[in-house]
Amino acid sequence: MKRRKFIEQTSIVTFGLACMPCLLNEKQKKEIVLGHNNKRYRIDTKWGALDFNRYPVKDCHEMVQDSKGRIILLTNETKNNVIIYDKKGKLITTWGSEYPGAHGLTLFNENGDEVLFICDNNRHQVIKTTLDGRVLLTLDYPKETGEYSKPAEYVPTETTIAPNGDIYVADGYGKDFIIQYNYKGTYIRHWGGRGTEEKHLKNAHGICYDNRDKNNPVLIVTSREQHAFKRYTLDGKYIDNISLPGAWVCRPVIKGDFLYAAVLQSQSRQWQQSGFVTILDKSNKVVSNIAGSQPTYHNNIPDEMYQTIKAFQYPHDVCIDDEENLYVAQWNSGHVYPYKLTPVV
Amino acid sequence: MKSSILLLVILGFSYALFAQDTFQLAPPLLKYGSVFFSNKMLVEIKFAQSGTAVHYNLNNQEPTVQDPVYTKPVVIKNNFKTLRAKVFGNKFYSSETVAVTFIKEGKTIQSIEQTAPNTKYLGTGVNTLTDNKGGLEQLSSNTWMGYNCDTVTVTLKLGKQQTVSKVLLNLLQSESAWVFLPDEIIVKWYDKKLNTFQPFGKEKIFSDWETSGSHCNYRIIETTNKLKTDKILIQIIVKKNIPEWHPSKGEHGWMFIDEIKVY
Repeated sequence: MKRRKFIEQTSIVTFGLACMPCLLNEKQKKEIVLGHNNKRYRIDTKWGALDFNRYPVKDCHEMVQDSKGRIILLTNETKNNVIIYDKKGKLITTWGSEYPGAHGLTLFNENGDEVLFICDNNRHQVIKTTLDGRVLLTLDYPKETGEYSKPAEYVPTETTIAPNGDIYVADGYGKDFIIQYNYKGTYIRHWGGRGTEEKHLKNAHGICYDNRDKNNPVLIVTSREQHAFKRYTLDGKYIDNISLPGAWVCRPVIKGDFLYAAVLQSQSRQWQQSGFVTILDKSNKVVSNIAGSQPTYHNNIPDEMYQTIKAFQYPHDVCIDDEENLYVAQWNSGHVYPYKLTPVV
Repeated sequence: MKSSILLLVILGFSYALFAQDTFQLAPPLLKYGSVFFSNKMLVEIKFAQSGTAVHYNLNNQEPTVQDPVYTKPVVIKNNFKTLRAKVFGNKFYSSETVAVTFIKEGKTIQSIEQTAPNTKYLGTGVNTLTDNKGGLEQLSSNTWMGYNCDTVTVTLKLGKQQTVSKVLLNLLQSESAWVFLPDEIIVKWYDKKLNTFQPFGKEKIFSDWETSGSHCNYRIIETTNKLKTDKILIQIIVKKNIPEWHPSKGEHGWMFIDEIKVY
C-alpha cells in the first residue's frame, strides 16, 4: 500500500515537473518583445500595482527618477498625488492632496538639492516643491505676458528647467504659449501660441531641455495635434520641425542619445485606446515604436505611425531609469498603475 | 486528494514562473481617400508588425486565416461592397475586424439647397453633400457638415424627371463628441401633377447606448414603389436631448452629414 502510494505520488510529481519544460517551450514560443532595432523591451504590466483601496490612482500622468533611484509618479488622485516606488515596484511612500489637476512632473537638481515642478491643470498654477512635498514656489497665471486676462485661460501641462535654473512652462491646454521665467520665477519672455506659421503650436503638451549636442542645447516642444515636436533656441527662436505623422506625442524625454515619448493615441484610431511609445535617435529619427508600427521613412519623413499591439491604452509619459528600464504612466486607462519595460539585450 | 493538491501546486508554480501578458493585435489600417467612388477604387491596407498577417475578404463574412493574405491594394467595383480585414499572429490574440463599405455614385444631383451648417463645421462648401468625398471617421475631417439646430432641410434637384427608389445619407456617429444619429429622417418626393411633395419614406433612429469611438453610419430610405420625380425633400430631425445614459444628458446633440446619394 505504502509502495503504491509512493509510486502514485512520484508519478504525479514527475508529471508536474514534466509539464514545466512544456510551459517553458510555450513561453519561449510566445515570448513577446516590443519595439524595434536596438530598442526592444519585455513588458511587465504588474510592476506598479498597489492596493487600490489604500493607494488609488486616477490618471497616472508623469514619472521621474530621483538620484536615489526612486521612481516618482504623479497622479491627479488627491488621496495621494505623489507615489514613490523603488525600481522593483515596491511602494516607498506617498504624499500630496492639494493637486486635483496634477499633470506635469519635472525633477531638477538645484545645486545638490532635488526639487519637483508640478503643473496643475485645475489650479492653473505651477508649483515647485521639495521631494517630500514642501512648497517652495508657486507660479500663477502669466498676466505679465499680456496674453491672459484670467487664470482659467492658462492650463499649464509641462515644465523644463535649464541648467541656469530658468523655468520654461508649456501652456498646453490653454493658449499654447511657452513662458520663460528665471529661477526666482520672474517673467523673462514668451513665445509659441497658436497660429498658422511654423513657429506656432497646437496643443503644446510637453517641453524638454535637449543637451544631446553639448555645444548647442535647444528646447524641444510638443505640438501634439500637429503630430510633431518643434525645436527652439533657449530664447524662443524657432529652429525646425520633427514630423511624426499619426502620433499624438506627449512630452519628449531625453536620456543619453535618445528621445523617448509616450504617444497618447494613433491619429487613425482616435479615442480608441490606440497609444504606443516612440523612440528617436540623436538625429531625431524614429528607431523604435513600442507596441507600434515598424518605423519606415520616405524622403526623410516618417511613414504614418500607429499602434499595432494593444499593450497600452493611452500612454501619457515615459520615464527611463539609470539602468535603461522604461516606466510608462497612462491617462484614462482604467486606473492602471505604471508598467515597466526591461531592455532586451 | 493530497496528490491532487500536490499536482495543482506544481502546475501553479510552473505557470506563475513562466506566465506573461498576452496582448491583442490592433486592427489594420484601411487607407482610402473616400468611401464614395465612380467606377472603381483601390484600397490599401497597412499593418507594419512582424510576425503577423492581414487576412481580408469581400464576402460579408468574418475574416479567417483561410481568407487571402493582403499583399496588394484591393480593387472595389460594386456598390455597397464591404471590405473586411483582420490581423492574425502566433504570439497574439487576433485583432478586431475592420469593415468599410464603399458606395458608388448614384443619379446626378444637379443642385442642392440645405440649411446652413454651424460655422465651425462648414464642410467644403455648397457641394459638400454631393462631391463624392467623405466617409472618413475623423470628426475633424473637412468633409463633414455639422449641425446643432433642431431640423435640417435639404432639397435635391435632379434636373429632369428620373425614376427613383432609394435615398442614402452618410452620417457620423461619435457620442463621446456629442455627435448622434438624428432622431428621424423624413424623405418626400415632388409630384409634378399635384404640385406638392408626397411621402417617400422615413426612418426613426433610437440611440439606446453609446457606440465605441467615431464611425460612419449610412442610412437608406427606400420607397415601396419606384417613382418619377425631379425633386426630393429631406428633413433631418436632429437629437434635441442627449439621452439619459450620456454624461451630457439633456443637452442639444449634433448631427454630422457628408454625402447624399439618390438611386
